Amino acid sequence: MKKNRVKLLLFLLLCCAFVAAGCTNEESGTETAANDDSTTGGEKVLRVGLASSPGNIDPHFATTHVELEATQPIFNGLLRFQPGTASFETIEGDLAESWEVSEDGLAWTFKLRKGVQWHKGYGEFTSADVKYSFERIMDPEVGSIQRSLFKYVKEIETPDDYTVVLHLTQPYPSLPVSLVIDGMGAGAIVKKEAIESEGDAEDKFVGTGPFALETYTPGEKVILTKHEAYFRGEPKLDKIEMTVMRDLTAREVALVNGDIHMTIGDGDKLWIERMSKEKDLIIEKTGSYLVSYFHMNVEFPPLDDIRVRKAIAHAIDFDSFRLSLYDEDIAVPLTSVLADDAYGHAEIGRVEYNPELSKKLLAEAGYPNGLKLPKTVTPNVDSYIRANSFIQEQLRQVGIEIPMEQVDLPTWIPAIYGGKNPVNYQSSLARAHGIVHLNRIWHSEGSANFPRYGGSDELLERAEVEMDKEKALELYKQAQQEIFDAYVSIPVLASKQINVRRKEVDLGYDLKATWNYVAPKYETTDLK
Amino acid sequence: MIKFIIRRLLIAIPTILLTITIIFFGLRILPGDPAVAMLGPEASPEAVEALREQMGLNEPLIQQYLAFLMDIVQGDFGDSLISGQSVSTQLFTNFPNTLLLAFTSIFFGCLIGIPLGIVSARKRDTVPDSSIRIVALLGISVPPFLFGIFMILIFSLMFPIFPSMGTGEGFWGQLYHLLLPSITLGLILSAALIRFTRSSMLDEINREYIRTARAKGVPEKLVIYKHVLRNSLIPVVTMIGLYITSLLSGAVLIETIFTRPGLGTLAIDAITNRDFPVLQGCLVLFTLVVQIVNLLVDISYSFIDPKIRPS
Repeated sequence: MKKNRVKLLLFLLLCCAFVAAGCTNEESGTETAANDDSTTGGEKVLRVGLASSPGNIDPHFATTHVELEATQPIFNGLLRFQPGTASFETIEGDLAESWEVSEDGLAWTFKLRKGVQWHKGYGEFTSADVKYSFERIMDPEVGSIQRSLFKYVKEIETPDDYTVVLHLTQPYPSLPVSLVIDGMGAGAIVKKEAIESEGDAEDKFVGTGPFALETYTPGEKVILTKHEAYFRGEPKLDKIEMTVMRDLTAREVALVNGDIHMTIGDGDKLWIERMSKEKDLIIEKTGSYLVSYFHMNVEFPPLDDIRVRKAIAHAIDFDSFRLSLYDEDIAVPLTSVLADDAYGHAEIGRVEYNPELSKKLLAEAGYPNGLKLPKTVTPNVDSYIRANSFIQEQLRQVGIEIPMEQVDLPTWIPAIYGGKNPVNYQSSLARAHGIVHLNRIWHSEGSANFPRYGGSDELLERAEVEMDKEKALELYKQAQQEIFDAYVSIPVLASKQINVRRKEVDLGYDLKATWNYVAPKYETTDLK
Repeated sequence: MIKFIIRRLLIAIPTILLTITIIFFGLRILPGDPAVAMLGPEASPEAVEALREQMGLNEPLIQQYLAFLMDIVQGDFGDSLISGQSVSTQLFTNFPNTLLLAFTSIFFGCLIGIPLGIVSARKRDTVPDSSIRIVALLGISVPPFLFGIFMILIFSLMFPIFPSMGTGEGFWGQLYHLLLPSITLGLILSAALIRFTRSSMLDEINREYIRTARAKGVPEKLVIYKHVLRNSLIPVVTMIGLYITSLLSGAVLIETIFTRPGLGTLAIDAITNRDFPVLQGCLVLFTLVVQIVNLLVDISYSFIDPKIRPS
């Protein structure tokens, strides 16, 4: 009798778990029947595999590539990159039809599109929405990450419903890259009434883009539905379903089986070789570049001595490192501190691998028997582990010891941004405009000044305000030369992004570069 | 029995309280700031400070702790620092999936592990025994994530019998999506169960009462299943109880590989983002599960062996 009771109890528990799982997954369950059919129940649903969970999909806070990927189809900005590009020279109007700059470079006037409709019945978009969105970003109380992109904006004026004027404190010719909706731009125009409502993410994050947010389940998925009244025309897809799939093999299998249509790829040689054999997949190696540097923090003696920095730079064979991990067409050497697709890039040169010269320089600096640097913390991420092990071994051969401790990303990030590491191998997405990238890393007040370098501040400040195109380009070149010669950051490589999708996905544009890692989705994106 | 359960539940309260305290303070010792995790590393110090204030992270630690205790008593785990969603909702959404995976894995683990353990013990030092032991050793040695990947490559890619991702819809859909992950986790559990059942049975088989039973002419099947197995099961059940905790950590990997939502992946994301309320919620729930499982294990003893039934 008692035995039966135990069995009954176990059975009931199992049933409860099933029922509860059924209840909670009703909306978010994943339809995964392996098929090549592009439609689900008569609807065209594009299924995307996200490599990690989008934590915050407020467009004024989104920073990771999965967050940007989730927000990109929902929102518009004043400006955008032409679909399939990510260059300063291909910026075009998005919600702005046209724009002009005053003679003194201090007033930027944007003429807005008429008849643009918000999602979920919020009516027509006007200049008041732009003013609210930009003031929200600039409000220190809100704490948006994009606030620094508006550092020179003094005032936002709205003379009528379809005109916005940005008044600046100083000329800033690279302002358009701050206003593009794609990637790290600050362009997303949000709706005040929605943002300030008490609802969930689905109620708050209302945009004017081709797709509206239907469901957001942190750690699991994001579902977007088409915005029929989208101003560029009705989107061809009915839905976009983004599922969090943390494991690369799981994404690979799902892609080959047709359970998902697209995802972020891996730059690893073997992975690309294997996936290239799949006849149903398209692999595209595109910009923008992910640029990697080896930074030396000048606040840590003896790294304040340029001879020591030079010795370290010449001791590492970065070309062998690059070719051992990547194919030649995926990772290219950097010929300046700017990648060659950044606006203002100039050919400066490359640091030669010469261990003998390295030993000589060390002796000159007073370290004939080598030296030991303070401990540096490194992230427990595959690509970084490979790079840091290589660097450590190469430096050991010329007598330089760098003790390294592996930590998780949330521990590493404050260490590197806080200047607590003597050396850092670091990769980040190249900014589309050269001066933005240079200021970010090599200005003493730059948000990512890992080498703690301030030797080019005056030159960078002059370059930033220069309105004359030719003069500005010359100043960018001089700054690149000066930074290169200071041996604070050794340009290692620039690697392309790997976009992988099934053949039935028609992006609706030619993919040359993207700021969002995975190809953006527009109203033209379709499933054949 | 009811008195015993009540006593055990009362003892569980200080244990849970102590664990919650350790979790709360332990998390705050971790390097990494949730405000930085949320705003990104390039946020200005003013923005980080404003957000810390908004999140209540600038309050004195003891005040935060007391508020946290009061909220927990009311069943409120707060809101996620990153997504702003209620932690209770997230736990409620994810926990049934993990529970289901754990239950079915134990079911498959027992279904495979205990019979093979019995065979191995009965056929001691024969070819079947050696083969089973080698397989079990292999099962214990292979890391769960690698085994999961193998299973997915074989049964979803090479022979597309099972789906590779998701939870499915409806009862049969869910069951179908559950099979491969739970068999994977169940096989890992079965490897340990084989070894444990075998050694426990061998201990028992040499006891005097078994010899006596045999001498009395009790049929061998009855000796094995009624006497040896029943008495060998106590350490095996204890082990299954203990294994629940490692099953929860194993579920993290299996959930990741099979793209299943669950407590494991929720906890991992919370660690990455230093999302204290979500992580606290997960850990408190883990603690409760371990306590409940221990209680169930203790109760199950009395059914297996009436001698240790609490008075």
